[in-house]
Amino acid sequence: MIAFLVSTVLAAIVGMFIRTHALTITKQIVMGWVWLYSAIAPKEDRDGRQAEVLSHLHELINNHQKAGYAPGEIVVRILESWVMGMVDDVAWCIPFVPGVLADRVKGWGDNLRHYRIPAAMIAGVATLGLMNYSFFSSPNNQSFGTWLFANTIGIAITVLLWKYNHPLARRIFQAWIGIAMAGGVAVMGWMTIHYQLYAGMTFKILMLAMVAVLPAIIVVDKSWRQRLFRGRWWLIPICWAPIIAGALAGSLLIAHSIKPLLEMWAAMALLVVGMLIVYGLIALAAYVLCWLGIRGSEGGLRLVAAGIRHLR
Amino acid sequence: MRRKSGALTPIEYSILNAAVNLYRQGGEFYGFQIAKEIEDREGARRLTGLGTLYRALDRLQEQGFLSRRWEDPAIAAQENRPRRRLYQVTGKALSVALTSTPSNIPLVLALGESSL
Repeated sequence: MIAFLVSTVLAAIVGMFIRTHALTITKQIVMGWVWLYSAIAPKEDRDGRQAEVLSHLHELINNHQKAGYAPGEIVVRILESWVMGMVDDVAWCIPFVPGVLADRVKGWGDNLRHYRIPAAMIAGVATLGLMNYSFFSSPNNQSFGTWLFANTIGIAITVLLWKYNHPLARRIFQAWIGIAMAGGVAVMGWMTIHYQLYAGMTFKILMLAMVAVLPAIIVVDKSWRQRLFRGRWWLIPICWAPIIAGALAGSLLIAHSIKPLLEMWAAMALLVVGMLIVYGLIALAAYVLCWLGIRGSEGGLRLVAAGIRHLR
Repeated sequence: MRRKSGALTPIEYSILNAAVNLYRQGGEFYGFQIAKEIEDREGARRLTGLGTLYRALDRLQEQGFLSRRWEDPAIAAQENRPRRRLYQVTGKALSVALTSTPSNIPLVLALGESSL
């Protein structure tokens, strides 16, 4: 009984409110629809359409009120003319869709390019997380020193990637990549010479050729090194020889176990070099993949935007 | 289906004729007046759909049958109402309205141009 009374009173209040404000509410509904479908149009067209419909509704209400129509009748007339023109409203805004969509897609591409470095940093953090996960999930090698070293390298890579736009960070990162790659080349050389796995002559020649060519590629690819080495080709082997020879000597020391003490130091050296190489390559691969993915997506989005514009 | 260049749809033709009538009565006119004119003249029970009317006006303006401008905001403010967009028919509209049907408008226009 109480519920019935409350609902009746509420219905009466709502009814009175609607009756009093019916015209305003209807006008707002129609204007809401105009705002909705014209949102996609350029500003000039959008403002023009909204102003024109607002004026039309005002004139319609005024005209019908002067002619003695009841508010309910005027509401019906407004709703009729609104509903009857809905298909044309949609048809009006459709030509604007390709342009807006193309701009939006192009914007996504620009954003991707803008966020390339933070995205690379995220890749670095993810690498760090995976590294720590693999470290704690494995029962082996759980020493504090190893953990600290691994994380220091990971954090350093992440920070360098984050601040990659800074010239100093870029040079540190590039130098570090160079060292890691030189270490990798040295290990490859050592393995090529000593391991039976690479005993096949063709494979050995191929690997040695790679070992010889890789440093040259790394060196000539950098503009600042280009300036340094221009006309001084003999500097290239001079700079690279100690790096490669050092890494190779460290590896050989461990492999041949000359003395137990030396073996311990050599093992640590190899561990450092190995970890530097492994983590460096993982981070580099993550960075390159991330960069390729972003540039690829950016290019794809630009292509889509151009396609949409062409269709327009 | 793509329509023939220069051809008008029935609603555009009605609007054009209403516009010419209003023009002859007093020069410039606005959207609601056209809807009212069509309703009064053609005995249509309902006012033309809002979207239909303004989309057709856009097309007529693009085709050069109508020209338009925004009313001076001071006048609208003085009369305490939203600003109107005022339309005016062009010579092209006067040459085809009332003397043709929607489908033969391209022909009428072509004849008009060749006789100039």
